[in-house]
Amino acid sequence: MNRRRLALVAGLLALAVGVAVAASPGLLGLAVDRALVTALGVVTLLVAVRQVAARRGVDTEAAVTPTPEHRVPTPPPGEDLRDSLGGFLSSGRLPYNQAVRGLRAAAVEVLAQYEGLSETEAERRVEAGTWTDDGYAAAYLGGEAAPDPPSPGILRRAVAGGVPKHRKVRHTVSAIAERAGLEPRSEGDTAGPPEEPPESFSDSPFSVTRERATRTADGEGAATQGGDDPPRGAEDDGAGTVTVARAARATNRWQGVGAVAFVGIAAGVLASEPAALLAGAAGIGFAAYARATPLEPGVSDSDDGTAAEGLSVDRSLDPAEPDPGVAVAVTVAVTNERDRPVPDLRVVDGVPEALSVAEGSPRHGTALQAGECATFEYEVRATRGRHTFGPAAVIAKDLSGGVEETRLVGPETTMACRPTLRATTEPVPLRQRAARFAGRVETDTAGAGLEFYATREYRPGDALSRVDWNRRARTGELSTVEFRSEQAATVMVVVDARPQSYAAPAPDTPHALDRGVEAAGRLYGSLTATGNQVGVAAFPSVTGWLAPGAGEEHERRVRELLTTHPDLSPAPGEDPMTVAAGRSRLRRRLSAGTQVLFVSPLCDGRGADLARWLDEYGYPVTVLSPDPTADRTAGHRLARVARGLRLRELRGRGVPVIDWAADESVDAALARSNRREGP
Amino acid sequence: MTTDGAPTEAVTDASESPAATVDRRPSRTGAVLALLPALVAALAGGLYTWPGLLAGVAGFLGLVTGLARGSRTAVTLGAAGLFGGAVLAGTEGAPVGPVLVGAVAAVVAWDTATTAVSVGEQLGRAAETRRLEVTHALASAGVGAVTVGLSYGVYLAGAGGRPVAALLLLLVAAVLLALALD
Repeated sequence: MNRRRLALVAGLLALAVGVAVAASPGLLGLAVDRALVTALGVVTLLVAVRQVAARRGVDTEAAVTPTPEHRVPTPPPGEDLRDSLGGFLSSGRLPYNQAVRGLRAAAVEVLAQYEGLSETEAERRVEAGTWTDDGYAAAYLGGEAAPDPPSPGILRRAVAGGVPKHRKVRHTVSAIAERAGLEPRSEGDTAGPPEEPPESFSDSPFSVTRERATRTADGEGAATQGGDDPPRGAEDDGAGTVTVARAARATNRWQGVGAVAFVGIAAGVLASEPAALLAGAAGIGFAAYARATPLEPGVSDSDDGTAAEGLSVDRSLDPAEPDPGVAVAVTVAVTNERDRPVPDLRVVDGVPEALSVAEGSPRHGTALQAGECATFEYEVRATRGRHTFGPAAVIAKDLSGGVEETRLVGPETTMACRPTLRATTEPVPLRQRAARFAGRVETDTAGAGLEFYATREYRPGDALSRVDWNRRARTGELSTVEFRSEQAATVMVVVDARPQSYAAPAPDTPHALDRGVEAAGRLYGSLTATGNQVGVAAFPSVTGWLAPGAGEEHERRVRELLTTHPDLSPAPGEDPMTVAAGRSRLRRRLSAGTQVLFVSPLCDGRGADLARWLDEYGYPVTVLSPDPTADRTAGHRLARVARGLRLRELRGRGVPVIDWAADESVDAALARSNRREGP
Repeated sequence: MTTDGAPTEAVTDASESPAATVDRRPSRTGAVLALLPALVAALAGGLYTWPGLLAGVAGFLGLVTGLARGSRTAVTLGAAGLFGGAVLAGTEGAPVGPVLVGAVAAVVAWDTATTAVSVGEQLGRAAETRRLEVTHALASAGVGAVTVGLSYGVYLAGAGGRPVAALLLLLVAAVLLALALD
């Protein structure tokens, strides 16, 4: 600042003397030397170089906008290969350098389960390398006696020192998957990997709204996300809250524009050409523009406030309470309520975490006159659950773009999308078990019912309407018709809401929890329609519990629970409870003889453990398992193998498992299961 | 945790999914608005001398590259080329008018192009940003027009037998004032 003032004073002095000399020649008896002029030119050029170099030193970082267009990523199981490897050793994740150990365990288990080999025999085959035709895989897992791997070729051996490890791992995983009977899916081309948060995400002032998306545990809260300025607190101005995310600051984008002037002047002086000299004027003009822009937001405007302050954002949804799958039009209106224009306004709306933009863009750039209002529109596809639109991020700049301020403006808008409890087209396969009320479960005992079961000899006391009169007329014998006894079941639909359920095979497909909750609603509809008492619970949750019941009021409460309960939120949240605590809670609340319909993707061993455990405690369990696995990477494939083993093991213990593929409806999955288990 | 520094990414297929990211390249409106003054700058200097044309064309191509890829560095280098072309034409005896217009147009092109890059980064290509960018470009062009007018006026007024010492002093004043402004 001091040097700037010095330059200003000296410049004005030189200007005055220069004008004086121009007005009356001879005032200064100075013989101007050619060398002096050249020296001036060179010095000016040096100043220009310094100006350019100075640009490196300043902070030219602009505000980073969030990416609300896409849902919070819910990667399929096995996104990290180390997790998949650990799944076979029950040791959590396994380091990559112990891949052989994990893959061996996987190969042995697959051979034991799918080929019926004993554990020692399976181990012997893996050791000897005779379990697969794949040479790389056999050699990678095999011991001394295993066959040599195929020669990698001279060039590869010389350049890369043999076959890279990741290729061996990929071969081995493919071989294991083949042994487990998994057909490779041809989805590699159509579906990309799940979206990664942008790299600069953690620096963004908006990480507040999406920080759970990145799943970073850096512990940086909202207060420290604003960079150099913490949020100044919220102020209510009717249209919702306004939070300063990044205070008004210089963007420094014009830094070094003076170099243009100096280069022009230097060139003009050195070449003695007025045209080149005047080219330098462009630099002076724009340097003045950058410094003296009339519309500066935020700079010492205490009475008027900053440009972003007078802005309000309004949002409307159409329809406000949509059914799942319906396109919802979101209209955002930005109003400049000040008496001065905002020349540069950039708005990014706060799309809910669990929704994706279907059409249009939630971003808008405009310039607003005083009192003017701009609207823009985009569409989101509604999915089940309660979604909250956060405040919009508003970036306001001055005319030259030299000052920039970011605020979070506007109301929060909530959209509730309730699932339909439409009954499934297929009957829900429950376990056979006697209960107290008439209902859906078909028993193998004769009694009151609708379906013919058998005839037996007439016993005194049998109702006359049950006597088989045709037979009496034919043969003269008295016999009684018996019907298949149908009994009601008390069913608890337990939805696995642990973080593992937030998994989807591709970025734009619903994750396993959303599918599970949707299915829970439909199972409820179907089971209550056939006279059963049905309850709904989230596992492992403290409050997500609705005791078995039926009727309109109960149905309404089920719908509400499935829509709004935080533990069934469509976006991943915090781990609500440990599995052990949830398990004992579940056992305390389940009354004896209650059937459990456990809806879980079975992405880890604990889901399967819970199903087995409940079954052993005398609650007949049926598992409906939405399949979230993908087939793009070795990790995905290995996780798929592990899930297949879990399903197999559960079925082996007598727990029926309905495997529900990602691309089919729950009706199709039930139909397939009914055909298999059917009469 | 420390033992597994192995490249897990190497095991995953590195196929990109364009649908999952926002297109953050510079906006089309901004690119068109920036190419107009860039063309003016390249022609104004380039029509008079070969070195000016060479530098101008190179600068224009640099600007186009920068706008296509969203690179601020390429945009700045390109604009520097455009400005250098105008100055080169000036040192080789091109008339004052076109050189002045070329130099100013180069700065306007830089301003508009970097705004397009910034709009691309903050809002992306899918967003509607026309009004913002037209406002910005008009303001920039206005400043350029005023600069050209004033400079040309000073040139006309100053033409004729003024002493060299006065010119020198005025130049020193200009340099110092520009330093104070920047």
